[in-house]
Amino acid sequence: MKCSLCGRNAVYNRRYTGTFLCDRCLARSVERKFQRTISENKLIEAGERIAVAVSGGKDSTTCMHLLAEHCERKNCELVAVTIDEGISGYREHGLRAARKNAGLLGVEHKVISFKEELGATLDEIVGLVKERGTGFGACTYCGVLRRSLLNRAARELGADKLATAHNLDDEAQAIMLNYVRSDLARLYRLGPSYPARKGFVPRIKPFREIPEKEVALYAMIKGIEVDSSECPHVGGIHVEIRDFINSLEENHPNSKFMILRTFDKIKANMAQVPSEFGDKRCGKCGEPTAASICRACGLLEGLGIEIGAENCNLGKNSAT
Amino acid sequence: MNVEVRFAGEKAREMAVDLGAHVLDILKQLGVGREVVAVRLDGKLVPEEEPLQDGSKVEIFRIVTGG
Ligand SMILES: [Zn+2]
Ligand SMILES: [Zn+2]
Repeated sequence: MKCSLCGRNAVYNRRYTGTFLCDRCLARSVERKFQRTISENKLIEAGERIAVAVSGGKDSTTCMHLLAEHCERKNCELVAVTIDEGISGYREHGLRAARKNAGLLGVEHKVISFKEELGATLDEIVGLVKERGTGFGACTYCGVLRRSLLNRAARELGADKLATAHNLDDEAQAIMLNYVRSDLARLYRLGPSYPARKGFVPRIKPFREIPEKEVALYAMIKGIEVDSSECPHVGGIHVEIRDFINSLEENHPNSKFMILRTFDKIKANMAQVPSEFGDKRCGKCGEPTAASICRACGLLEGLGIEIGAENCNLGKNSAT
Repeated sequence: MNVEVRFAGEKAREMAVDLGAHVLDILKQLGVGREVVAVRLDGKLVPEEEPLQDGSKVEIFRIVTGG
């Protein structure tokens, strides 16, 4: 097969536009989409300090590479943050890839561990969850706790923005998940950026319009060394929604983009959904919250992990 | 005709395919969706529509692993 644009050997059939692309044309297109998402949504201003969450997987590692190049041109500072959740047989591989790539790019790199910050690894938390049957999956604990630690790390590192590598697939899945759960507050906060509010470092998603497969191909074409091991805790409704959307896309190319575009149109016309946060601070850790304690602390409390115990310091230095 | 198929990090296996088959036919036989893999044919990244030859080496990379 030949590239529809330049006639070289194709590496990819972009079915949603009906174009075959070679390695060069695909890479150029991914880079352009990354730049366009940033400029159209004003995600990064010149001179800003940007934190990027890097797990060592293909999306976040590739995102760090593209951001490093972007920051160089726009006179921005980049700092990488890796959360070590403590998932044995998995996270250590990602950590190594994150470290290696940050070193290669000369990007400042900070590692923050569940064990040190919360007093328990995700593996230990999952053990407690099974014992107690709390009704929440591993991904809920991991997601909520990771987000809380990332926000605090970005704030303490003095970052103006926190970039995450959520791609088109992630975003379409999040839209469907919150739709199925009727979680309007979480649905409403999806978008290319998550605006600044007291205590929150604004989050930005420069990969939001790039399909997961194109990110993977880009990393392969550019020879970026990434970790491709699979999290042992993955499962549940997240996987069902991912598989459903992928089979939809297979039979009806462009479905992922349509899910995104339709949501963006609805969001623009949605009456303001009340924020789940407001101006309050968590009584235990000091992170922003709508209730008296934040969701991260609530989940930990439900597991009997006592915040404020000496090995447990989610809240340390968190007041701003 | 026969082709050699290997998932990244796993052992290779021989598969019989019809004359004129494409990479996509192999994915279908294996029950693997095209959205979740990247494929190298004889060492080069290819679209799933790429035709196979007798003796082709097909390497399949699972791209959906999270992170
Ligand atoms: Zn081309
Ligand atoms: Zn808290």
